[in-house]
Amino acid sequence: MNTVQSFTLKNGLSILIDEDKSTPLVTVNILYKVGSKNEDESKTGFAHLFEHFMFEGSKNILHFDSELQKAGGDNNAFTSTDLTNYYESLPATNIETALWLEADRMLELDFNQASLTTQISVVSEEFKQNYLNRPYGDVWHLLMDMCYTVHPYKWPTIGKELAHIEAFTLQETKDFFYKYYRPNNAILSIVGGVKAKEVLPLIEKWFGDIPSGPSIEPLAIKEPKQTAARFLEVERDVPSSVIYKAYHCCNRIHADYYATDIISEILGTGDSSRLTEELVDKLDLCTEIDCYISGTDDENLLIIEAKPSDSISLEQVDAAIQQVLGDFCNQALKDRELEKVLNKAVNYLAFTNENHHNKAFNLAFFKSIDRLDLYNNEQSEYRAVSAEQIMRVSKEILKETNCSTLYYKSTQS
Amino acid sequence: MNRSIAPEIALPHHLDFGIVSKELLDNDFPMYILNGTSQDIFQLSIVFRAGRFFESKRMLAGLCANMILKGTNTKKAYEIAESFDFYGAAVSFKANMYTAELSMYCLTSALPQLLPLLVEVLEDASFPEEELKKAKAKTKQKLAVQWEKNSYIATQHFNEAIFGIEHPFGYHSHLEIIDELNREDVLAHFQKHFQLNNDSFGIIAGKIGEEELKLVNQYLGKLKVLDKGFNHAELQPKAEKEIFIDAKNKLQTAIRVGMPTVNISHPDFDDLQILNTILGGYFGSRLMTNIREEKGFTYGIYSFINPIMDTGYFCIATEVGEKYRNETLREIEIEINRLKNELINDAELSMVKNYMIGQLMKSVDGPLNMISTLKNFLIFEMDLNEINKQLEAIHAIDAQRLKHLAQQYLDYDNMYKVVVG
Repeated sequence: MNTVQSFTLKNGLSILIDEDKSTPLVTVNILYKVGSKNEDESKTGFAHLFEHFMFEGSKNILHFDSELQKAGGDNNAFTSTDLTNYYESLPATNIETALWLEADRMLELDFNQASLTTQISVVSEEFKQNYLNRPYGDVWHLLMDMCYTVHPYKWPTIGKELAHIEAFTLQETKDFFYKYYRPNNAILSIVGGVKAKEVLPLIEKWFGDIPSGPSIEPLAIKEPKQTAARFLEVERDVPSSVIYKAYHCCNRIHADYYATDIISEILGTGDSSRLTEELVDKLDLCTEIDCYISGTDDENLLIIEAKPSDSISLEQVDAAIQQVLGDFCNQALKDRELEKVLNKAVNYLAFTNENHHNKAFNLAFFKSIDRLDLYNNEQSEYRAVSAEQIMRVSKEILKETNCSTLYYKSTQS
Repeated sequence: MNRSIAPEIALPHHLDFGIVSKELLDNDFPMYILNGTSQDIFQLSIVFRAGRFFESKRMLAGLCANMILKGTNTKKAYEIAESFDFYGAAVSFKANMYTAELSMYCLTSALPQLLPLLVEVLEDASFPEEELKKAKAKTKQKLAVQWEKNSYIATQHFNEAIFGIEHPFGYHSHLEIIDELNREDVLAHFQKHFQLNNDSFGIIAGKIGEEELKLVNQYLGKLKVLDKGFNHAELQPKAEKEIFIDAKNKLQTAIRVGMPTVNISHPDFDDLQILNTILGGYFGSRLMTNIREEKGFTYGIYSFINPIMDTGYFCIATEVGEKYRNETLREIEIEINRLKNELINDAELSMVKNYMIGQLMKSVDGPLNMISTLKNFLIFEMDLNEINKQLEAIHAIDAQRLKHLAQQYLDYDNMYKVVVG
């Protein structure tokens, strides 16, 4: 059981501290509640580009990374559809360096065109390396665009196209910063070998006088309910074909979220899952098959992806997947399957809780969805799911009219 | 309050990471113990001498590792997978160039059920024909995708240049080779090499009390311990230094630049790691600063030293926009020559030192992080005391020594340059 101490500064900055005496290190994590879902469809990829810009110097500090490295630390950041997260990991004795650095770049950035130009170039190379110059690199662009018709999850975090990234201006970085990167839209979490009563005055010292920004309204846009099957087929110069099937399901704080996660586990996580047993082991239709949920804050997707064996068509695999899902919805769940999934969750949570870095992110994340209780109680959420709930949710989501299917066909085979 | 002045910092001169104990199991197999997690978790790692170096036929080690969990004489693949899954455990076998590894992660409470199963697999893996067929198909599919990536092609050619096309570390992993492997080959590799032997070791980490140790000994301590395997391979480095490969994907060029260098057991190795860190071993490195942060040619550029058996190599790796390829090579040369011709200034040197000290602290931060650190030392017959030797080397090194090392070990003209795009 972790003991979390929670505070809020006058400017609205949320602070969460979990003292972990077992480590001489500490993780300082800052989550900003802004992601690619806050972008406009004609200007995508900005939240992620901006994340790069955050390392280009701030009002009083020229080189973020150098200062942190001097204190024995390292750091990284990532942008998702829903949030942008930054962390520093460093010796606990030097925690003030991380606070000083994060506070200065929350206060004001060094908005300069040369830095923006360089980072546009770096992100363009990232786009090429991970999406354009890589086999299957455009799968997410195609799939998300089919699954979502109006919700901004319809483009990936990297952006819809290179041209959007190349067009961003310095004024846009300023506007974005003063709207989303204010203390009242941020969560600071700290886990490691520090004492809250010693750290709090330091936080007050460095963050206390940073002005608040406008309050950010939650995104109002809702994806309309899908009522008919969607289908897209593309041909690409890749070694083997692949099929994706994506089903709409509930959001992160919905009462069915953990039931949905369990469904994806039973169907397609691990070598003993239903889909693997049937399509890989018994029928030899696929070389591999996976099922997982996208885990987004707003309405999620349950996604199945599979690679057919030699001389097996995507149509055959598609039919076999639908057969397994049909059987799953119509037959009672085995007790042992449910117990297996719970054991997996318990294992996963135990290993996660051994790592101060994971814990710091989880603290901030759970706070961001207003479910701080999950930091210690996620296990009971899994335990509370019943076989009946799993059956009901499966019947609601695992149907073709709720599904977007992508046939990504190889021109080589 | 002046926000432009950095807070005071402090860094250790000695690292305490608790006690690493070593037990000989009943069969005299050495088991290292890293006790002290807060959660009731358990991680086992066994290092075998069973990588590519020991293959009787090419690509055997990887295929063998992928198949160990795919059936015993009494259990089918599905049953084995389901049993491990049921207890929430994760088990895997993986073959590297020289070593191969077993890893198992689980809750301490599941050990009485999982250890007998693991022992059954280690004693009795049966490599069924139908599973071999599936494993081959899956391996080929995955490899076909790898060969589409310029970075993979570049690594294949770089290894060939360093070790020679006939060497187990240097041959290309072509799909067609997989077809030639049969069940007898895979089984023989398993029986000869994926066994405890007097040159392998195990590490357990987690919350480990007497009960857990007793269980480990009860099961793993009854396994046979073989004599270590032998093999021999001549290094045949390529004469030609510049290797250009025309690839299908042109958008980005993959670049590898490097040469053979000394091993972890060499007295200069710790210092050379510091030199490597300055050049390309961390985010603030000279290559990253120059080629990514100033010029924007790439998403990332790194350099590393890979010690392997009694040799090792130094390598710089990046993928750059196609139009930046020549300029990138030129900048790499400039950065190498700067190390040879100029003394590093105090600010940069102290930044690198402090960063590396922080990394050392991380490498021994709790039993789960220590397991991979210890493993890498034990493969080279060293122990965790090495950490404090590295710490001393970091504190002691100066600019003159680094310049001297660069002159001795880095020679751009003599490096292989592999360019794929």
